[in-house]
Amino acid sequence: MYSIKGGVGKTTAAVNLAYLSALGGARTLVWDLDPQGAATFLFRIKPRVKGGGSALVRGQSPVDRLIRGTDFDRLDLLPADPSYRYMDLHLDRTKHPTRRLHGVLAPLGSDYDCIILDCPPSLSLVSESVFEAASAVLVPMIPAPLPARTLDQLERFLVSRNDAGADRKRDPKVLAFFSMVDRRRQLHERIIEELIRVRPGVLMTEIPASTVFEQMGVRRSPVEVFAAGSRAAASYRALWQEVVGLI
Amino acid sequence: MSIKSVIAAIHLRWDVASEAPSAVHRTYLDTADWRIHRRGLTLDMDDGASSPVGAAKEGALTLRHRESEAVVAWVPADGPPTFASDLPVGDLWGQVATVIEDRRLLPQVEVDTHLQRIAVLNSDDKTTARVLLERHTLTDSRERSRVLRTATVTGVRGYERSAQRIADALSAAGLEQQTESLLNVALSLAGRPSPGAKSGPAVDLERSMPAARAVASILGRLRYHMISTQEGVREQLDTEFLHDYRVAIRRARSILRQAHGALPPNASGALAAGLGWLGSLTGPARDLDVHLGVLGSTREDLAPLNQYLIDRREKAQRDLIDAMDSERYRSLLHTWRALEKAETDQSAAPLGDRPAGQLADALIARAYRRVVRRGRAIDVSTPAEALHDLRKRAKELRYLIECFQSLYPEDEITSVIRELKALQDNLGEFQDCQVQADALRSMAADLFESRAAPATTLMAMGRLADDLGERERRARDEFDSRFERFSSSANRKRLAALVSGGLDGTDSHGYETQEPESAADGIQA
Repeated sequence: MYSIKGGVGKTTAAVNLAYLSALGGARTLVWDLDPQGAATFLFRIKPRVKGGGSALVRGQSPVDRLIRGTDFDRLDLLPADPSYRYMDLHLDRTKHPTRRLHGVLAPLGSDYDCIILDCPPSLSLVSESVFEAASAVLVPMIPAPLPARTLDQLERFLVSRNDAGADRKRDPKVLAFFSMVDRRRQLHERIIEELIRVRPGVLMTEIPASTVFEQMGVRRSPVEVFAAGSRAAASYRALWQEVVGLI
Repeated sequence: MSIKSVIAAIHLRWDVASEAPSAVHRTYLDTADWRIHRRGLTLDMDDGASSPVGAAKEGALTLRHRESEAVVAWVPADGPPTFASDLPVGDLWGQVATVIEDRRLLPQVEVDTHLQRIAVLNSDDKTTARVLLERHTLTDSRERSRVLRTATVTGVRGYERSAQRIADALSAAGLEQQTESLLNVALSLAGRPSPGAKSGPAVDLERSMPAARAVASILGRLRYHMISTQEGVREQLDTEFLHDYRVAIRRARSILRQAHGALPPNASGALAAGLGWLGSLTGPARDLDVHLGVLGSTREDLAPLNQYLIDRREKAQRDLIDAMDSERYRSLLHTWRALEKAETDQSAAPLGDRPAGQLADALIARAYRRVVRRGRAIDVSTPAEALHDLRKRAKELRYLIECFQSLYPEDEITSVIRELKALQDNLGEFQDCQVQADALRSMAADLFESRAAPATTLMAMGRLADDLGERERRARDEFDSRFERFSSSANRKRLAALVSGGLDGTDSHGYETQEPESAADGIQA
C-alpha cells in the first residue's frame, strides 16, 4: 500500500483489505512501515519493535518474534517503531539496501498467504525496497487536481530503477484506485472521468468519503467489524475482490 | 465446574469481552470398520456454526488430524455424504475416497456443542488470549448421552504469557488438562469399543493354554465379527458388510475343519454343517456384488446386463433375509455359542488339553506343506482347477496364521503373511477373471434366450469377456514367479523358525494323522 502523498486513506485501505484477506481464509500479515504507526494503533498494539528498524533490516532481530497477533483470526501485525523514521539510513548502511525488506520477510514465506506493507509516504530508499519486495503496489488517490502526476511520478521511478539495473520481471503491478471520493462534488466527478480517460487501467472500485472511516480511529477496528452494512464496508469488499482478481 | 464459574474465575482477574453464545451440531462419520480413524483422521459434518472459516453460513464437512484436530481439508455441505462418490471432486474427496473406497459413511457419534468465546483484554482493550468454553452433549447410536465441558485457551502471537497465566489459573481452579481428541472422549463416554482396537481375527493367546480354550476364543471372536456385520448385510449398507460376514464364516469353517481335534466332535460337526449352509446361501449375493462391481456399468450398451444383475441381486437379498430370519439360523447361532462354552468339557475333544502353541505350530506347518506340495505340481499344462484348489489351500494357511497370530513375533509373522498374500492375490485374480468370464457367457445366453438384450449388449459383453480372458492369462503367466517367492528357502526358513518342530512332517505331537487331506476340501472361494 503506497502513496507519495500522505492523508489519502492509505492506512485505512491497508487495515480494511488485510482484514478482508484474513476473513477469506488467507493467513495475513500487515507490516506497518510508517513511523506514525497508524495501523499499529488501529490494531491496539504497542508501536515498538525490539532493537528497532536498524536491527531488523540488518537481520539481527528474528522477525517471527516481533510479530503480534491482532484481535482477528489469521491476521497478524509487524508493528511500527519510531526508529522507522530513519529507515532510509538503516537501509543505506546495508549491503543491498533495496533487497533488505524482501530479505526480512523471506523467512515468513510459508507462514502467510498475503503480506501487506503499509508504507510511509515518500519516494525513497524505503519505497524502492518495497517495490523490490512486492508483487503489487496499491496506490490510493484522492480526486485532487493533477492526479495523473502522482502515477506518472511513480512510473518514472520504476523505470529509473530499471535503468539502474533492477530486474524488470520483478516489477510490481501498479494498481491505483480512487479514495475519499465524494461524487456529489463536481470537481471529483470531473477529475475521475479525466483520469479514467487517460489511464484506463485504474481500478473500477472507488472508496467513498465516509464518516464511517473516521470512526475507525475511535473503534480501532476495520469497518467490516462494526459497520458491515455500510457503503464504506461494501466498497472495500468490492475493492478486495477486484484486487484479488488482478493478482 | 460450570461455564459460569469459569467465566467468573477469569473475570475476577482480567478484563474480558464475551461473544454471544452459540451452538453447533456435529456428526462424526466413519465406515463400519473405522477406516478414517485408523488412518489417523476424523471426518465430521457440522451445521455451520463452527466451520473452519467463520464466515461460512452453511454446514461443512471437515477432515481433521485425529490427534491434533488440525483441519486437513473441508468443503461446504448441507447434508452428510453416504459414499465417497457423493463428495465434490477436490482435496477432501481425494483423501477420503482413497481411505474408504466403496464403504458407506455411517454416523458414529453425534455431538451437540454450546460454545462461548471469551477474549481476554489488556489495558488497551487488545485481545491477548482467547478462551473457548464448550459444553458437549455426546449421543451414540443407542441414544445414550453424556455431557462433557471443556475450556480451550489459545494464545495470541506475541502475547503468549497471557495465555499461560490463564491456563495456570484454570488448572488452579481444578480444571483437568484434556489430552484426548473429542471423538475419542465421545467414544469412550458413549461406551463404544475404541475404534483403534484390532479388527482382525487375532485374539490374545498363550502358547501354554489348552488348545480347546484357544480355539474357543478364536471362534468367539469370529462369531462377534459375524454378528457385528449382520445389520449391514440386512440393510445392504455397502457390499463390504456381506464380504466381511462371509469371511467370518469361512474363517470359522476353516478353523473347525483344521483344528477339529481340539473340539468336541459332535458339536463342531453340527456347527460346520450350519456354517456350510450359510456359506453357500450367501454365495450368490456376494457373486452378484462382485459382478456388479466389475461388470456393472453406466454404459448404455450394457444397461440390460446391469438391470439383469440388479434384479438377481434383489432376489438373492430376499433369500438371504429369509434365511437370517429362519429358525435354522437362530439355532446355528445357539450351537456356535454353546461350542465356545464347551471349552470346559475337554474330555470330549481328543486334543483339547494339549498346549495351544503346539497345535498352532503343527497346523500351520501342515497347511504350509500342502500349499508347497500342490504348488510345485503345477506347470504350464496343469488344468485351472489345480490353481483353484491351491487358492483354497493358501486361504486355509492364511486363516490359520491370522487366527493364531498372537502366538508369534509380530514382525516375522507379518512378512510371512505378506508373501502369502502376494501369492493369494495372483491366484485370486486368475480365478476371479475366469469366474467372471464364465458368468458373462452364461448371462449372455440367458439374456439372448429371454430376448432381454439387443445384439449390441451381447457384443459388449463379449468384449468384456475377452478383456477378462486377457487378465486371466496375465495372472497365469505371473504365477510361477509369485509361487517361487512364496516357496523360496528364505521364506521357508522364516516360517520354520517360528514353528517348533520345523516344517517337515514330523509327527511328534500327533496332529499330522488327525485329518486326511481330502477332508480339507470344500472351502468356497
